[in-house]
Amino acid sequence: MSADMVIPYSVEPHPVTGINNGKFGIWLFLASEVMLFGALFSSYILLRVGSPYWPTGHEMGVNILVGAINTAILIASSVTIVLSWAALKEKNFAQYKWWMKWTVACALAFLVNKLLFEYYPKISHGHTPAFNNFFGLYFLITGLHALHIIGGVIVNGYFLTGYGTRLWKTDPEKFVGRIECAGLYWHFVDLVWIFLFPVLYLM
Amino acid sequence: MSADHGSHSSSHGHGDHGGGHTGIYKKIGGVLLVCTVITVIISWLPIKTVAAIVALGLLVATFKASLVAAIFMHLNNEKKIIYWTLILCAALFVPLILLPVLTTSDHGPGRVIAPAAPNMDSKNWQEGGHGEAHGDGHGEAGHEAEPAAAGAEHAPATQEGAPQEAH
Repeated sequence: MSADMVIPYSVEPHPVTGINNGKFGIWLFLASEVMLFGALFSSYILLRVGSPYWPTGHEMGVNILVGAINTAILIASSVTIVLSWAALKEKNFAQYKWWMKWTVACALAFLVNKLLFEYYPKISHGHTPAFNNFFGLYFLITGLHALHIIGGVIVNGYFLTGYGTRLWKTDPEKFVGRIECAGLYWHFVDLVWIFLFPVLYLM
Repeated sequence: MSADHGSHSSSHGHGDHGGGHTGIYKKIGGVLLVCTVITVIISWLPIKTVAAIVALGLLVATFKASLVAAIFMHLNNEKKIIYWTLILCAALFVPLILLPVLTTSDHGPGRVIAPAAPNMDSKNWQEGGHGEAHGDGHGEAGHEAEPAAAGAEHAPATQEGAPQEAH
């Protein structure tokens, strides 16, 4: 908490990169996440192309309506989190909290949809990851994505608490940077779902 | 430009106009929702080839992803270091995705690489489930997969009829 503990370039741009360390760091993290999900998509392609028969999502009872609703929910949450950041840029903290609350609410709605209307019906019908390769991949990729959603809920929820928002009073620009990083992560999670939905549900 | 914004808006590529962009964020959100509807409609279209459905679906998904990346993630006005990070990522991502294509091309089309998983031929995969066998044969391994799979539970549906290698 003392001045000795200040990490350089956490707000002002680094002379080499031109941006602050947090933003560079989150982009590097997102690049690694691209490779993580890319490896799973690559596995999906390999298994599907190498299989004599690959069922469509419809044949496997995947609910396109629930998937489409979840897509809309995540898109809405992307809009709300960027609006929360924009509100902070306008120094409107109350509006920031309003939009961030909606972001967390959308994320929770996504999780409830997924667990109640997708995972539970499938597992109760015996369509577990062990049933066939389709469901093995389906549960793995959507499960990993859901874990990312949970991580986002924890982080975004933290930035709604009194402790998580202290920085707004002591160093508002640094706090805006944190919210931007959280937003970048959240948009990435949305991006993954934008590709997941057509690949698993519609093809 | 970056020197002027050095100590104030260092966190953001496009400076201090974040608040004035709320209108465009909502509009892009609307466009994304419309594109989602279009994606669902594409899946309903009577398109015969799987490749065409996949191409169309991925085209719309790529367009949506581009909007999210450019507008929401502010990539349309970002520092070069971020662009180079993503270019490096893309350069490694392309071979990652192409690996299965390269792998299967060694063996030729229609050759099963992975051992047949349980419940994966057109009869067995229905067991215990409620899926209906539409027999669309979406696997690219062979469009004759239906009759071939029905007659041979373990042999792959290969065009040259070669037996599956033991692994």
